[in-house]
Amino acid sequence: MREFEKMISVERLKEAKRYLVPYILSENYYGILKKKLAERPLSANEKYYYSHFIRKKLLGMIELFGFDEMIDGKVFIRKDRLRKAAYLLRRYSRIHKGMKILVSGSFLYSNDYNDIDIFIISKYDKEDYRDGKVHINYLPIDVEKTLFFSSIRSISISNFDALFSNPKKIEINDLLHSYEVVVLLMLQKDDYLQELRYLILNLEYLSSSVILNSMQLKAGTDKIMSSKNPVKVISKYLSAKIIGAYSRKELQIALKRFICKNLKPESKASENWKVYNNAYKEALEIVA
Amino acid sequence: MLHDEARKKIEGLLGEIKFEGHFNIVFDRLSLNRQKQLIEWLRECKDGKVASISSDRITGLLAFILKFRQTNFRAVLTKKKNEYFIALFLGKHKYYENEKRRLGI
Repeated sequence: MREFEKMISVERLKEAKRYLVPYILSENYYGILKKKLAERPLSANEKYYYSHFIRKKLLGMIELFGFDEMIDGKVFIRKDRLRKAAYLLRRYSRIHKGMKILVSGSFLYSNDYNDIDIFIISKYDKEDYRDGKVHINYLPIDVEKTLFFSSIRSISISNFDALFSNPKKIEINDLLHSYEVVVLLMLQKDDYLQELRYLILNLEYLSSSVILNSMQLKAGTDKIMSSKNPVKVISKYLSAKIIGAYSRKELQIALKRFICKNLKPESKASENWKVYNNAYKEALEIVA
Repeated sequence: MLHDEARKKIEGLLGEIKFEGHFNIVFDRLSLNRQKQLIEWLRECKDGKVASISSDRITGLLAFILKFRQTNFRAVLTKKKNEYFIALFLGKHKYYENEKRRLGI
């Protein structure tokens, strides 16, 4: 709200007077607003009118036009959720003063949602918490440079304008580690959604320089999770995406190293090791 | 069960190991069922019934991963291949990500 007041000058208010009085503001209210914008002291009565009526009218206009927030991917956001998200953004901006806050996730675009994700960028290592349906996630200050942030940002409402910076190079080792964890969790019948999202996001960026938004990412993960054999699908997907994303030599060295480490399992529970090496060998054959 | 009792029980099962992450806090916050699930999982790891991941950074290091559904708690048990258990990490997702990176898994 304070930011919104800074956007109006007395001159601008004078120019808009014929559209405002008497339709939105009475002559009296108009005078009080003009006085406030000119930073002249208000009487107790005027203060009362300002905070109880004029300010609320302005707040209504902010909601109506949605220019108090930075909105990304507006076409994907449901109208009813936009209003609620803007309200939440203001509410949590008051609680966490001066902090960068972003509302994102399926709450904005999906009919059904589990919780409302609010991300707060903080230089302190704070614990995430829940406030009813709202899930407050603290992110480190350097998160703005990551693919993850670019993805959540692409459909979001926030109180700041993030600068786009190219995400750092995705190392082949990190990618293969992510793949191994996803397959392990799939075989253990554990929940692997979070890990799968991260893997797909990285693979798509690596292969086509596209940063998937959270909606596209959800569509991708849903497709894999609902397939008959998710392990096979993700393995084929990995092989297809990494070929061409790295130099032949770099890929060969990394794949051979990973094949080597997975050669001699310790126990019988090693189905995952076979899956990994089959995928790596398949990729090796193609690049050879 | 409180964390002190759990530590003894786990060491009785796996031998002397390190407890890493926020073991005490996280263990005390787990429901009784989840605590039992963790102990049972550790027993299965010992019996060779759980699949592991091998590190590409530390030679011969194996890691077992457990996720507790509907929470962001994770457990990572590390072991020297064909030898002894090294450490049990218990912590929230963001610390687990750092731990994974450190271990090369």
